[in-house]
Amino acid sequence: MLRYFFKRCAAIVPVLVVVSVLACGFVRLLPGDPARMMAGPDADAATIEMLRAQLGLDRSLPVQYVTYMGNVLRGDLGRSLKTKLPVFQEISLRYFPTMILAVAGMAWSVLFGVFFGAVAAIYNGRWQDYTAMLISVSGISLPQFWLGLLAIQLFAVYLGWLPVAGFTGRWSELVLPSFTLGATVAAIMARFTLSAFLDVLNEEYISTARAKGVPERRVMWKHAFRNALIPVVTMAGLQFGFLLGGSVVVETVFAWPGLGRFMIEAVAVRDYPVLQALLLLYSFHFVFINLLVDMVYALINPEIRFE
Amino acid sequence: MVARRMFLVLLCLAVSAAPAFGASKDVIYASESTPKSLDPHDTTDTYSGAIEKAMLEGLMGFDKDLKVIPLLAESYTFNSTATEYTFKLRKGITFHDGTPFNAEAVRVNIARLMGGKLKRSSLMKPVKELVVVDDATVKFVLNEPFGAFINTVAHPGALMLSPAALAKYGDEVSKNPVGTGPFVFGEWVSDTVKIKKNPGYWRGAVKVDSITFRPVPESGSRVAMLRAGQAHYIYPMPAEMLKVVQADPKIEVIERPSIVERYLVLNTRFAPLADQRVRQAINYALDKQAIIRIAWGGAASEADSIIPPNLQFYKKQGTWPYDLAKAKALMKEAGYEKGFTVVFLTPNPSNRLRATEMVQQQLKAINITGEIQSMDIASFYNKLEANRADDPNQVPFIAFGGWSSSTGDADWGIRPLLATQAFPPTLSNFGFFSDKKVDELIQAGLVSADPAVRREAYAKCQDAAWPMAPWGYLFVDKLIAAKSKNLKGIYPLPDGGFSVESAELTE
Amino acid sequence: MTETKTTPFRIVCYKFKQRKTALAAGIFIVLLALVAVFAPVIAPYDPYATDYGLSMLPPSAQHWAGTDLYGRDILSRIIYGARISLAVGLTSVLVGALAGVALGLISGFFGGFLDGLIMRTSDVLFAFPGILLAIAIVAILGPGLVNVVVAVSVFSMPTFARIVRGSTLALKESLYVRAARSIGASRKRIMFVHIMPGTLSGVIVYFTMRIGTSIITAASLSFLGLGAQPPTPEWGAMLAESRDYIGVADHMTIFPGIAIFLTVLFFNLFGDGLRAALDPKLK
Repeated sequence: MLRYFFKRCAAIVPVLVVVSVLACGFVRLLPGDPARMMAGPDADAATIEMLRAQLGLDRSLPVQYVTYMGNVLRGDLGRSLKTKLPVFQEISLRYFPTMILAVAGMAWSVLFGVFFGAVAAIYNGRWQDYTAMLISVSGISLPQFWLGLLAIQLFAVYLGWLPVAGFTGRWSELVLPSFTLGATVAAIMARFTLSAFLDVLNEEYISTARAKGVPERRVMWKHAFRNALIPVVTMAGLQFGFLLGGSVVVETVFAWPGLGRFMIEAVAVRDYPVLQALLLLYSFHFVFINLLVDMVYALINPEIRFE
Repeated sequence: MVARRMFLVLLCLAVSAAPAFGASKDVIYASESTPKSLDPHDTTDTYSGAIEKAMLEGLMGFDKDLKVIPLLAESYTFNSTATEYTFKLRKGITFHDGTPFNAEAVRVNIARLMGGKLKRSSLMKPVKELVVVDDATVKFVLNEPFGAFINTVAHPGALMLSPAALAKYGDEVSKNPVGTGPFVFGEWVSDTVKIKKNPGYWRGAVKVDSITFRPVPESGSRVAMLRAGQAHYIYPMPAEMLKVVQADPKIEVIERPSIVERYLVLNTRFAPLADQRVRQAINYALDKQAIIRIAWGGAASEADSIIPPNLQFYKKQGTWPYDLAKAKALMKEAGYEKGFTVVFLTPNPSNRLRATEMVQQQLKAINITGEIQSMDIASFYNKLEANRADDPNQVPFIAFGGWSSSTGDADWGIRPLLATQAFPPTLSNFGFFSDKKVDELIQAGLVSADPAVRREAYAKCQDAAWPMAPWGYLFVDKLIAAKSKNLKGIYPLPDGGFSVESAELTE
Repeated sequence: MTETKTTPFRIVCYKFKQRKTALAAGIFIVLLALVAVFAPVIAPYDPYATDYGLSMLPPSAQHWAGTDLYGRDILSRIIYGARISLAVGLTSVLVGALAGVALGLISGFFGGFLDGLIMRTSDVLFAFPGILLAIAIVAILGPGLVNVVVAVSVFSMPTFARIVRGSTLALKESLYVRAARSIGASRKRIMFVHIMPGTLSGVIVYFTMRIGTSIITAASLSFLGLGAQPPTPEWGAMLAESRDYIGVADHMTIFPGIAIFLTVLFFNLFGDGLRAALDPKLK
C-alpha cells in the first residue's frame, strides 16, 4: 500500500515539472509587457527599461526559469511585479476566503446535488425523478454571472435580506456567492449521484437483500446509499479541487477577495510571478486531490494497486 | 498555521464589526480598482495615488479644479530662465510619527526620487540638484529650463514621506506610509485599505473616524451596495444606471468635469488617413452627441480642443459639427468616395467597446468599414506601441484612445501625443502625427516659466492643431460618483482621484 | 401480422421516448435548429439595423422583446443568435470530440509510452485553470468567436480522451476483438471498425452535455470581454452588454438569458435522456 503511494507520488513529479515549465513559458506568451504595465500609461522609455532590468525581465527565458525554480524550491515565490509584496503573503491572504467559499459552495452542491440525485435514482422514471433532475440541471444551464447579478438584485437590493458583496468576516456575506457557486456544481453532483446510485441499485446484493425481506427503506439507506457514497465523495473531492483554484466570475460579481480575482488582475498587468505561483498552486491542488482519489480507490479495490 | 491565524483574525473582525459600525463614524468607499502601492514615489495609477493623497502631502498640491496651490510650501519663487525654483516651507508641521517636517525631510524624499530606482523617478529628471538653503527653505536647480516644474512638484509622485519611516522601512514603506495628511494609515489587507483620522492635522479637525476603501469591480454590485446602504460613496458610478439611483431619495449623484479626453487615434502612416481631408471627413461623420448619450450614458461633454477645459492654458476651439454631407464631400474630394477598410482597435471595458461600436456604425456612412478588435488593456497598449513609423506594413487602425495629463498642465497633455519626438516607443504619439509648426509651439511652451508666454504658445498650438484633425475628436469624460445623502465632503477630482479631507457623516 | 424488429436502436429510441423530459428536450432542439436555419425568414427585423431614437424600449407590439442600446430589435438578434450559439456549441465540441476520440483510441489501444504521454498531457491540460487558458488563447490569437471555439475545443478534449480510453481498454480484451485479431485483421481496422463504435455511446452522451457547457463558457468569456466581437448577436455577448443596465432596462438581460437557459437546459436534459436510454441497467 505504501509502495503504491510512493509510486503515485513519483508519477506526480514529472507532471509538476512540466507544469512549471509551461507556467513560466505560458505567461510570457501573453502579448504585452509587464514592465510597460507597471510603469504606467505616461511613463517614458527610460523608466520602462529601468523597471525591466530591476525586475529581471531582460534576462533570457531559460535563465529566468532556472532562477525562479531555484527560488521556489527554497520556498521563495518572489515578489509581485505590481505591488512588490511577497507573492507567498499575497496568496496566503486570499487563500482563506477562497477556501471558505469553496467549502460553502460544496456544502450547497452536496446538499442539493446528492439529495436530488438520490431522489431521481430512487423514484427512477417517475415525476420525482424528472422534477429533481430538472431543478438540478437548471443550475448548470445558467451563466454564473447572470445568476449572481440577479440574486443580488432580488435578495440584497429588493428584499434587503443579505449583503451585496465583499467579505469582512460576516457569515451572511457567504450566502449568495456560495449559492451561486454551488448551483453549478450541484448539477454535476446530482448527475453523478444518480448514476452511482443506479449502479449500486442494480448490484446483486441489493436484490438479495430485497429477497431476504429487508424493508425497502433499509435497503435504500443502509445498503444502497452508503455504497453509492464512495464514488460520490471522490467526485466531490475532485470538484472541490477545482473550486480551490478560485472562481473568477463569482469573485468578480461579489467582490470576493479570493484567488480567482487575484489571478484575473495579475493577468491584466502581466504580473508573471503571481501568475506562475497561482498556476503551480492550482496544479498542485488538482494533482494532490487526484492522488487522494486514487488512494481511496486503491483502498476499496485492491486490484488497482497491481496495475 | 496561516489559515488558522486568518480564521481567528476574521472571527474577531466579525465579532467586532457589528457594534463598531454604529458607534464610530466610518465611511465605506466602494471603488472599482484595487490599490497597487502606497508608496507615492513608486505609484503610477490614479487610485493608489488618491489614497496616498489622503495621508500624504507635497510641497505643492492641486485644488478641486486642478489649479496648483501651495501646500507644505508656503510660497515659491523662480528665476527668469526657469532653471531655479526656491520654496519656503511651512513651519510647525509634523509627520504622523512625530518627525518634524523641514528642509531635511524634503531633501531625503527628493534624494530618494533622484536615486532613479522608482517608477516616479523620472519626475526628477529635470533636476540637477536640490540645495538646502536653511531649515525652512529649499532650492531646486534644474538641468534645463522647464516652465511646468511647479506642476511636477505638485504631482502625487512627489508627496512627502516621513524620513524616519523611510529609514525604518526602506521600500516596505509601501505598506507603512507615514505623512502629514488628514488621515493616518490604518491597514492594507488583501485589496482593502483603511485609513484613520489624524487628530493633529495642521489644517483643522477631521470629522470622520475612518475611511475604508473596498474594491467592488462589478459596477452592478457597486450600485447595489449603495442602494442597500452598505456603502456610503461609490466611484465610478456607472452612468448607465443613473436612472436607478436618481429615483432613490437617499442617494445623491455628484458630477465633475475631468481631465480625461477621449479621441480616435488615426494611423497617419496609412495612406488614406495621411490625407487631412479624410481625417476631417471622419470628424464630420461622427455624431458625438449620440455616442455620448448612448455609449457613455451621457457622462461626457463634446471635445472642443485638443486638451480638456480643466487643463492649464486650454483654449476653446469650438466643437466639430456633425455634418454627414460635408463629410461625404471631403471624402470625394480626397478621392476616397468608395471608402477603405480599417481595423477598429479598442480596449475591452464595456463603455469603450460600445463607443467603438457606434463609431463603426457611423463611419459606414462614408464607406469606412472594418472589424472591431477588442482586447485587454495590456494587449491594447502592446499593439499600439509595437508600431514603428518607418514600417512599410502599417496596421490601418483607428483606435479608441484617451489621455489624462497627470500634471494638470498643457505640456503633458500635448507633447506626448502630438510631437514628432513622441513617436512610439518613446512616448504616445501612436498616430504618428507630425507637423513642424505644432512642434515649434510645443517647444516654446516647454522652455519658458512665464505664464503669459506659455499661454500664448499653447493658444497658438491649439489653434494650429485643431483644424488639422490629427484625431477623431470625441469627448471629455464627466466623472460621476454617487453617495448617500448623509455623507458630505467627499467628491471626485478632475484627474479621477478624490478628495476626502472634509468628509463628514451626519445621521 | 407484421413482425417488428427489436433492434438495439429501436430499444434506445423507445426508452428515450419514455422519459418525458428528454422527449420535450428533443422537440425543443429540433425547433431551435429550425429557427436557426430559417432565421432570415422568421426574424422581424435586421439584427444589425440601428436606430438611436429607439434605444432601450421595453417590449411592445412592434418589438416583442424590446430594443437594445442602439435601437436594434432584440427578438431578431436572439433568433440570429440561435445560429451562432448552435454553431459555436456544435463546432467546438465536435472539434474537441474528434481530437479527443482519436487520442483516446490511440492511447487505449497502443498503451505503453504513447498512452502515458497522452494521458500525462491531458492531465496537465486538465490541471490548467480553464479561464486562464481561454484568456491566453484570446490574448495570443486575438478576440472573436473563432478563438472562443478553439478555447472550448481545447477544454473538451481531455475528457473525451479519457472516456474513449476507458471504453477502449475494456473493449480491447473483449471476445469479438480478440476474434478479429486472431483472423488477422489490421490494427487500424480493429480500432476503427470494431472498437470505436463501442465507445460511441459514452461519447454521444458527453457530446450533447458538452454543447450546453460550451454555450455557457462562450457566454462567460463574453462576460470577461473575450468573446464575440460587436456587432455579433451572440447570446452571451448580449447578456454581457446588458449587465450594466440591470434595474434600468431589464428586458435587455432577461430575454437573452432565457434563451441561453432554455437551450442549455434542454441540451442537458437531452443528454441525460440519452444516457438513460443507452444504459442497459435502466428499465
